[in-house]
Amino acid sequence: MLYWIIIAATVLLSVMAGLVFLKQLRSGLSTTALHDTFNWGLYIQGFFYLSAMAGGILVFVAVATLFEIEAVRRLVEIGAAVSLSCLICAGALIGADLGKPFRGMKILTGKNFASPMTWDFFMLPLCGVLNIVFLLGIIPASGVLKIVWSILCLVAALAYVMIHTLFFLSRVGAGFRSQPFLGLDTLAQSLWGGMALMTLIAVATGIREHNLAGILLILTILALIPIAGSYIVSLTSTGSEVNSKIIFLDTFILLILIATQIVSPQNAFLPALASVLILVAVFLEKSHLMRQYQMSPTVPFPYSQFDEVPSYKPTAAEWMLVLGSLGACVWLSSGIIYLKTLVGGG
Amino acid sequence: MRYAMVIDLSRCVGCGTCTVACRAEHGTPAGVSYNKVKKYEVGKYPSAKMKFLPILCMHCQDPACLKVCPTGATYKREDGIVLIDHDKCIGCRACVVACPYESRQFLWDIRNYYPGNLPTPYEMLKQKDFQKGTVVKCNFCLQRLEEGQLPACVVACPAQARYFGDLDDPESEVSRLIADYRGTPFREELGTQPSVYYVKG
Repeated sequence: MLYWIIIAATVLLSVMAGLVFLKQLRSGLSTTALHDTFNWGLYIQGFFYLSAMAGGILVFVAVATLFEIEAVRRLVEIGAAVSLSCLICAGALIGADLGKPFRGMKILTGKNFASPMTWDFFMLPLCGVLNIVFLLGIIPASGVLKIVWSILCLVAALAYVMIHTLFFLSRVGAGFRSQPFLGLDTLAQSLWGGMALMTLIAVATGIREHNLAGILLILTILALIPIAGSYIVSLTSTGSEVNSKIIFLDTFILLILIATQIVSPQNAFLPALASVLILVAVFLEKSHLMRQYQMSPTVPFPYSQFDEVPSYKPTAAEWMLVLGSLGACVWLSSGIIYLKTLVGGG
Repeated sequence: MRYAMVIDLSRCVGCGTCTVACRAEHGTPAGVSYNKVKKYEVGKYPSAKMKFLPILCMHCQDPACLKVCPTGATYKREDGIVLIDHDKCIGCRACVVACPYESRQFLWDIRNYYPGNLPTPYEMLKQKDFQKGTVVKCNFCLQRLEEGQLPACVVACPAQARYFGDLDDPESEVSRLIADYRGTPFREELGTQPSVYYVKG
């Protein structure tokens, strides 16, 4: 019953988001709070978030398939469906951000491979295709094809996740948050978020053969390393800032996971709670990344002395579209799994 | 041939004529300005001074905007002018984020100068060239250069603070000014190799 309530709620949310999307198609980006100094907002943040999730999950799926970890086979199948849904919704958000989504096809003819966006344009669909191939059951449980597929997944997912660090490279060059941990931070957040989502799904579906909370703990430490590094850099560099709320939240998650390992490794509630908090933490980190590079005037002081400090508060329409995309991930994943069960007879 | 502009900061009085001339030449919609003049203070009372920094597209030789453009809408001509093909621009705004000089603007909307009224005949004439949802910027008044004229901001500047010419020609006025007055581009350390130089003559 709860399952169907969630599905109905997410479908309703997505329908409302769809209406906002259609309105946006007619009116362009004038329904957003974006402006000349804050060019990328909640849509791009949502895109980075969902694509990071998709990448993290795909890495999990690829590793489990490559090393033939049979205990998580069912989880891996669900993961492929969730990864595909996240990619579709990330693409929808980019479409919303462009205002006229089909203009995006011009990237095909542009062929500027120096642009991170071009790589995104090719890598994301590639990951989608790899997910579909897996879901169709074309990839055997062992053999060369499985190895090739897994390696392709790892390369494509890790490549586009890392590509997302390049979008702000010119701003880093211009003195914005010029710290060496951005790449590791982006990668760690992706793996962390993806694993958190997989843990949440494992708890919800009762698939708990492996100590996923243990893996989550390791990834939490991995995610904290670049954040701690950024914090140290921020103490010595004026161009860097670290959101203390994120550090606090990440540390709290770490403590929950340590407590789980010490007190009750088989406990389901604490890893689920930690997973939800991780999903929130990754979303906040993406928000911080977006704001970090746009909240200050690009031209340095004193030339920007009388420039207005840019602010950005997303509109209800923007929130609706992003929440609708997140909701779409839920029912789309369920739909794909249902279809797979129907076709596969599983 | 490499077009370049030299701006003499000691002559600039921050009047904004260049901004107005640019708007008139291009017929840019309200809120869009290819040519800005940044104002800032130096020193402390009683010897505080107001200074001005005119900023436009720097027409970099190694432009960050060109690298990030996924469709090739941003391109550089052989004479060094960086342009945007608006039919190719998809409005992703990657170039706006990448530009370290705030030289690009996205057309969120095409607004006229008298809200609530019909566009003026001049606005109707000029604004048909603008496509909502694309990025715009200074083009060194290419349409004027092709007719053998100087950019509008250079001609209009009442303090004669702007000079325009061929940087590849060592005898040109811009080359001479850069050599004589040690002209430097704004934020040279970024390595974008701008074609706009500043001198304090």
